[in-house]
Amino acid sequence: MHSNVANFRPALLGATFAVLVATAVVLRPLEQSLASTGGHVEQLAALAGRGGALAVLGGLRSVVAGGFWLQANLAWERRDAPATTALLGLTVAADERPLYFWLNGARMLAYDLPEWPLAAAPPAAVRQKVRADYARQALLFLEQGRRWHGAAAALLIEMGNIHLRRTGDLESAARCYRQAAELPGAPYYAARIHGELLRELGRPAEALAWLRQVLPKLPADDPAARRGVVLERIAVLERATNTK
Amino acid sequence: MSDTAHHGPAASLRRIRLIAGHTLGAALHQRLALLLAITGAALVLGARWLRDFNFGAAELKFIADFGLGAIGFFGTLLAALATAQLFCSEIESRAADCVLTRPVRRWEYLTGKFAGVVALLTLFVLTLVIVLGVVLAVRESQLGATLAPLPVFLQACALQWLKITLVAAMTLFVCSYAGSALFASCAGLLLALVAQLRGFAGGGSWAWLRVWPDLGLFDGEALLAAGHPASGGWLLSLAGYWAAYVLLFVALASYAFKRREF
Repeated sequence: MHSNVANFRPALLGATFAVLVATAVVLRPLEQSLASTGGHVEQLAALAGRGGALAVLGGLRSVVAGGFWLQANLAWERRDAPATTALLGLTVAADERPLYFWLNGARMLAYDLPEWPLAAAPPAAVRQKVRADYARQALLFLEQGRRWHGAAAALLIEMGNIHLRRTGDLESAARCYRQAAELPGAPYYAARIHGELLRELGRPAEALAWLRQVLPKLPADDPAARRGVVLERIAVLERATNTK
Repeated sequence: MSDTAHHGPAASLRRIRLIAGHTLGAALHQRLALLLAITGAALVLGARWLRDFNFGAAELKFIADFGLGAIGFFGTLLAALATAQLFCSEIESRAADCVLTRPVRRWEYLTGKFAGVVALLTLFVLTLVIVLGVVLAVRESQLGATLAPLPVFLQACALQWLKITLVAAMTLFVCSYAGSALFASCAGLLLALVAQLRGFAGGGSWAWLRVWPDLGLFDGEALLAAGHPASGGWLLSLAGYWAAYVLLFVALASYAFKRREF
């Protein structure tokens, strides 16, 4: 009888496995020093059965993710919220590296999708609930981005924006802006907004301490740093808290 | 010819070289290699026209990502399919019997076959790297921007080559006992998939995957995205890792092939 593995003996199987285990043990320290970026099982699970998983594993991530992103935008044009949400998930599962997908995907979830069912002008309580639900979904999406993509100030700032504009949770917004401001490469305004939110939360002393801490790091020759604005804020807060 | 002419490392090397040359010649006559090379080159050339699918990254990065992806994807296909085809066709046509009745050791035959496939993969990667390099250079001059220094680009391409030659070694191991090219190529691709998934293996029920090599380490795209050349130590370690697994698979294949009944 013809067999594809007629020449495969149990001894060969045993020897193969033993040698593979021994090699893996010997090479383990080397492998760890090479530090594979690895991946996230959730990403593969999201792609499973949706097409593109093999292409993604083979290295054609950018184009597969681009295809999903286009489809997500088509679903967005049709105002099909479930399809848009699912396709946004597939896009970032195919390629988690570009911040563009995370930020714009979160904006769609937080600001566009809740407006579609609200076109029929439901009662205020319903409107509020729909907006809060989608805001939560967008925040979860960005949280996933922080896990898959890695720490990025832009993701935290977007989370702060959603807390600020959609959930109205100033405390969480302030926390997000602060975390963003503490990351390397963060825009200067993240620190300023954190200070402003502390003031709005009724903690001027804390805001003053924060802005004083931030001020030395602001270059005088960079207009984006808005050093003058920060100095003004500090002066206002000093007057408000009667400190100098 | 005297007996001594058949012994010693020099004679072994000569036989391996002859078998490798023959294997490369046979591979170049196959339409598969040409087809995959043309498809890969067309995709790399077409990367510029696939810009409509590029949203997340700069254009040059997208072209490089896509090009490296095409090299890796089609290279993996070629590594598994060509190895299985070249090895099993000789077994099925009994051409291998003719070679093995001569003073050729089975491990020499196998090593020669592997060297031939590696030569084929080198030509494949070189061709696509040249195409990708030209596409990138043209676009860089048009945009007045630079993607990454040349050494980084070459290192990224070298990682793709290491990856696909390792896939060829895995497939060769399957070929050493497989009864058909179809089985060997499917199993080779499956093993490559397992090795690609290896990076996802954490603890628990996936821990057993750790006995398999991790193809995720040969991530040329990540190197290119970093934009600076990898350190010599890191490259040496990676080359050592690759060499250890290639040697292991060729040795295992030799062991299995030595016990194979024709």
